[in-house]
Amino acid sequence: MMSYFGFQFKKITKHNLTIIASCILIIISFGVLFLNANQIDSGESIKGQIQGNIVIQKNNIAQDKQALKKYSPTGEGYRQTKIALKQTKKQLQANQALIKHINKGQWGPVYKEKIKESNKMKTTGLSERNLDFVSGIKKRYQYLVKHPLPYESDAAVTGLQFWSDLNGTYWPILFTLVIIFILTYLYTDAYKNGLDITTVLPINVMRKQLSNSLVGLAISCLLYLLLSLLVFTGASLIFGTGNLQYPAIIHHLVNGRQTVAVAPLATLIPQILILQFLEFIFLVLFIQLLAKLLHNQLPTLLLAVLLVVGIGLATTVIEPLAQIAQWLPNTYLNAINVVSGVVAYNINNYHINFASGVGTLLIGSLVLFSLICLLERTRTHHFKEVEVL
Amino acid sequence: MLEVNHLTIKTRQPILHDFSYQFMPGQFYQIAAENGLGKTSFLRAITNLIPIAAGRIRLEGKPYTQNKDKVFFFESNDWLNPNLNSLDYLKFIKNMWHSQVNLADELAFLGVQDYAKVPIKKYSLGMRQKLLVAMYFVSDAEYYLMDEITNGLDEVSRKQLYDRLAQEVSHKNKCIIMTSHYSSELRMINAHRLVLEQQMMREV
Repeated sequence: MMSYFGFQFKKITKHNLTIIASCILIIISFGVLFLNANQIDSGESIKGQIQGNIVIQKNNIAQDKQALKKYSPTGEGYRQTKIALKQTKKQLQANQALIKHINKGQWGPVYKEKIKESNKMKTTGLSERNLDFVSGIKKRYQYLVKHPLPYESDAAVTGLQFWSDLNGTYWPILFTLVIIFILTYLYTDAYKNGLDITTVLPINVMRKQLSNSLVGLAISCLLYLLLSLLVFTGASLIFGTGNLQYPAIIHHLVNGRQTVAVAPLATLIPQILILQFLEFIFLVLFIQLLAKLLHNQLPTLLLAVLLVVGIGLATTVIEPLAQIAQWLPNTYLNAINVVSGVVAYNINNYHINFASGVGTLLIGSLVLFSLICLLERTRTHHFKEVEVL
Repeated sequence: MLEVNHLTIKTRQPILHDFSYQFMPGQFYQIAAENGLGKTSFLRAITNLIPIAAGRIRLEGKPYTQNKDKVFFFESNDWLNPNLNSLDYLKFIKNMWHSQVNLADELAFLGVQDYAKVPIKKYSLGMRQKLLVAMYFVSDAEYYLMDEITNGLDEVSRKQLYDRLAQEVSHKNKCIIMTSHYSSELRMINAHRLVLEQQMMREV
């Protein structure tokens, strides 16, 4: 069994497709890091915003000082401008103090100031989604006041934030595509002219089945871990590792009502990894089944992409699919957004959560495994039946 | 003994009808037929790659599925994975068939060792065919089912192959069933020649 496992494993590790696909994924991932880093430099960070405000306030002060010269010191205009000038100077001092705090890594006062800003924000007329967004950000600041950590939400650049950002945005599609390509190649390689050439190997059908599944699973997990490690290390070397206790905004139901909350990334990671692992098992079995049915690389690839990625994307736009999305294994491709409740929130289906993911993927995998065994059994039975004629 | 009883094979068209024969250890069998008449299908049927329409195939009294390690069949070099190399295949076969042969000796036979670590995609037809031959000898199985194995081999290699096959039959008591085209020259003494035509196979 180990020989067969090793042989199948080599087919993937020695194939250019694996290397090329992984390289493309790495290039795209670091491209995202580059764009994120640019976002910070372009002033979209907290520090950038405050610095922008300082520039505006300095301009306003200069303009007000000029204006004062025009007004008579006893006039109303002079008095108003004087008050405005005083206020702007006060704000400028406050902002300059915040910049000093940021530069010293003292984020507490900055978060308190941000909470004050959120409280002052007029929320009347805002849509429910915008209200949730504001509430989420406010709760993140409140958490950060209690757990003073450097701010990491300007753009995902630190190791952990970048890894979780990729897992929530690009990887659910891109990484899945790479895995589909690799697994399709692995499982259709056994078929030549529609014949399963592994039939001639002296290995028990169940052992072969188990080895094939384990190879696929090992490759998927290894590739995921390697790429995760690479993007984490790459981002960490440039921008730092980030903090596991840093809060992520989550959506969940409290007494049947949707609520925005925050949770440290550390509490989400185990569930993310479990869902990801179960999703790999499902993919491995699904592509194996397709290969056994179609015996051909291109149709298997096409159908796998359509059924896995296509339906996964369709649940976000087709209303009837969104309502049953909790029962579709494709929904759980984006493990991080499932665990944080973002998927449930986006398609308004709160049956989608970690527990439903575990259940659906386990049941789905069990059904697929049974179908594969049934196919093998039908084939063996077909041969046996003829034998005794 | 490989025993075939009342074997009938149908693919898209009838291939073989009611064929019974006993392939004995220590014997060499050549199955000759025109192209497309079903030589390969016969070997595929023996190894369960395609279902049979009727009849029974027994390998030392058991179905093929229970005696797979006694047979080696690798239809053609199209079955080889182009990203792997000769060494990958030969080590795999040695392990799978629990063979005791010396890998270095088999690599040296026909000169496969010169390109043993080069990916198969870089091989010429002759190099691939030499690897295929080496795979049979590395398996050391009791039954070799060879499908037009001399295709692509040069004259020197063919002679080496036939000499080696003769040794395998006489010294190791192997049963070798080799398909070939009518025009193929067979250089084996005491070989059984079977001809497949009009869905009938008979020894001539």
